[in-house]
Amino acid sequence: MELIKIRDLHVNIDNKEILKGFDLNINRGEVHAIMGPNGTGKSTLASALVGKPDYEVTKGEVIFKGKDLLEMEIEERALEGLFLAFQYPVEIPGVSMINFMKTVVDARREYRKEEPISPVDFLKLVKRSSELVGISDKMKGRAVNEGFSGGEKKKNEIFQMAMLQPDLAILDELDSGLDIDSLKQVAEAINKLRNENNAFLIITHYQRLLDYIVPDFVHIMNDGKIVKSGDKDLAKELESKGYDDIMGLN
Amino acid sequence: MVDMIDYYKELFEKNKENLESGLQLEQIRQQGLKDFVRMGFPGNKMEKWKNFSTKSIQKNRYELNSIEERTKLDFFSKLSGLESPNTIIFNNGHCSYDFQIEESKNGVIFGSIKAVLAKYPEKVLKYFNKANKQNLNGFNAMNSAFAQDGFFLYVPENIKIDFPVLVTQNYNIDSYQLINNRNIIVLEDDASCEIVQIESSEVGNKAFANNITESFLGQNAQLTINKLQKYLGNTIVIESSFTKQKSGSNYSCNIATIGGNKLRNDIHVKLEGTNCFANINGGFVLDENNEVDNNVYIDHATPDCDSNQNFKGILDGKSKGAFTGYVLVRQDSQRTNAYQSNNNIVLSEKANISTNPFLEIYADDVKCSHGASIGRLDQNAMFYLRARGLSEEKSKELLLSAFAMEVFKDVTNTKFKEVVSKEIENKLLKD
Repeated sequence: MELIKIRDLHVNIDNKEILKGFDLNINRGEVHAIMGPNGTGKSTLASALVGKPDYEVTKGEVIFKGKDLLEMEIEERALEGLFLAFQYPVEIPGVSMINFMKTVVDARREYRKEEPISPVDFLKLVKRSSELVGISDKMKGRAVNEGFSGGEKKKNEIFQMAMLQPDLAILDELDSGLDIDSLKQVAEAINKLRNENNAFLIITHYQRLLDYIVPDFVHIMNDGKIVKSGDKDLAKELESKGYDDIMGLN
Repeated sequence: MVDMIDYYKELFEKNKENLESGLQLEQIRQQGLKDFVRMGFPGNKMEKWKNFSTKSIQKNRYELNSIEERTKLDFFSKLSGLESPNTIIFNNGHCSYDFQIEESKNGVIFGSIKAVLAKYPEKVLKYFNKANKQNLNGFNAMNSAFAQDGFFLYVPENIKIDFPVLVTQNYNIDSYQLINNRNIIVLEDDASCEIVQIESSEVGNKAFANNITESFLGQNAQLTINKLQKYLGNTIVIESSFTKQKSGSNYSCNIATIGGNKLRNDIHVKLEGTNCFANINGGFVLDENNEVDNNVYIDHATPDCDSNQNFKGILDGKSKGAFTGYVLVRQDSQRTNAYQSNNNIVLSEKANISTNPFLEIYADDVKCSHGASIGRLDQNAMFYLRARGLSEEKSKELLLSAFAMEVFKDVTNTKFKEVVSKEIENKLLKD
């Protein structure tokens, strides 16, 4: 079942065109990986989809769960079930992780016209999610991302994802900042969260992450659009041959 | 404005008997009036008053308020959790009817200063105007001349008051009345206590309050003042405090200011013994035409003392805020640590904040720092919160509230913090 349909997406930043006609369909239950050299627009795609200000969509459409995603406010996209695990999570001094999560969980429930979560259920959800990702109680008590190491910040993104259980999660350069053990742990958590109703869009430079989270589809991006698509073997091929060869530039 | 000074001279004469009524303050009052006539109202050209115009005060002929409000206000429904067995309630500067003086077996005296003066004049006179020695400005002098009531708290040696003492003050008079409260807090050696002060006014209030609090901390004494100021309407308030600290004492003062038509906080601390610590923090949230001027003066008169000032402001609408922090390190005050910080978020084009650090250092072995910033909301943080599903309004409120509450991070009274946090949230969501 189709979850998101991106058609001919063009995005400008500061009047410079970064995405130049990007197309992609993702169905529920699928994991897609987007690879490509630096500066080809991978992160721009992620930012534009979640509605980051200053990312100007000049052309194209995005249909998410049958609705026009580009018409929605930032928070509406999130409430509809879109989640971005940030490449660089932002520190929010003074806002404790737990209060933040409670506020966010309740905002979602309110959007779905449900009652606020009970304290008991909330604590259960926190416990389950933090065990899954492997974050400590100490981290939960601190302010959002404040003083977290690079790896902790990334784990915290996946912890939030586990808490919120989005329909579509975009993981932007998840592997940067994670050591190999943490990477395995986080990948394992994501694999446990995979099911036939949700989908993942993984943005990465390297094949490494895809050894642990095996994608159904791999796309190679260059100059603002997808230039080649294939299955998981494409990533391996890329790793051995390099971008230039795969993209036929040699 | 000579005629206004004459007006207050007449007001003094007219109320002489009423003011005296056996309170033994004659000399102090006469001196106060003399100083007031000499100094008059501070003008904007004076450095210390450049952010606070006294014109609106000089415009009105204030009467000495003798309207005693007997009814107890329903504070507690608003302040859940702050109730205390040691509570004193003031309405328009007058102590509420059913509470005058309380003495406990361990020697603690707590009550209306008027009542304590009548019963134990020597206990009060020993301290009256001993911290506000010189009547530093016209308003201090005015208070010395006209002081009517206030609270008095005496904590003997080695006594720790377990519950925070609660002092509430509410102004609600629809005519031009002058209120001069004088509060005195005495902590003998090794005594400790916390005072929670809730100050408020109603929308229709026209009274002008000019209050002084004098605090005396004995050796190793510990005083915490947690204060919430929430003034509605056209209330004008000048709150001056003078604190003297003996060696090893610890003074912590935390002021949350929610709006205020025209409010000035003057906080004077004199560190008179070694190894003292003064920790002065304030968070203010202003909008519309609010005007708040915070001034902190810390006098490091002895070596080996620490002081810290941390003020944060959020300004919206056409509000005007100011922070001025003075630190004086005298020549012999070696090994002083003095820190000062004032950060502000300005949300509108028309809001205005003035931040003024003053460090006067005559000793050579000191660590002093000051920092100030004026900025806008962190847009990356806003995006992050919204990308998790929080509305723009909620994200803004969360960030601003966290910003302001940071100054109260060392406050151990969680109930007080909850009340303040709620008040800040309400103020921010109202915008």
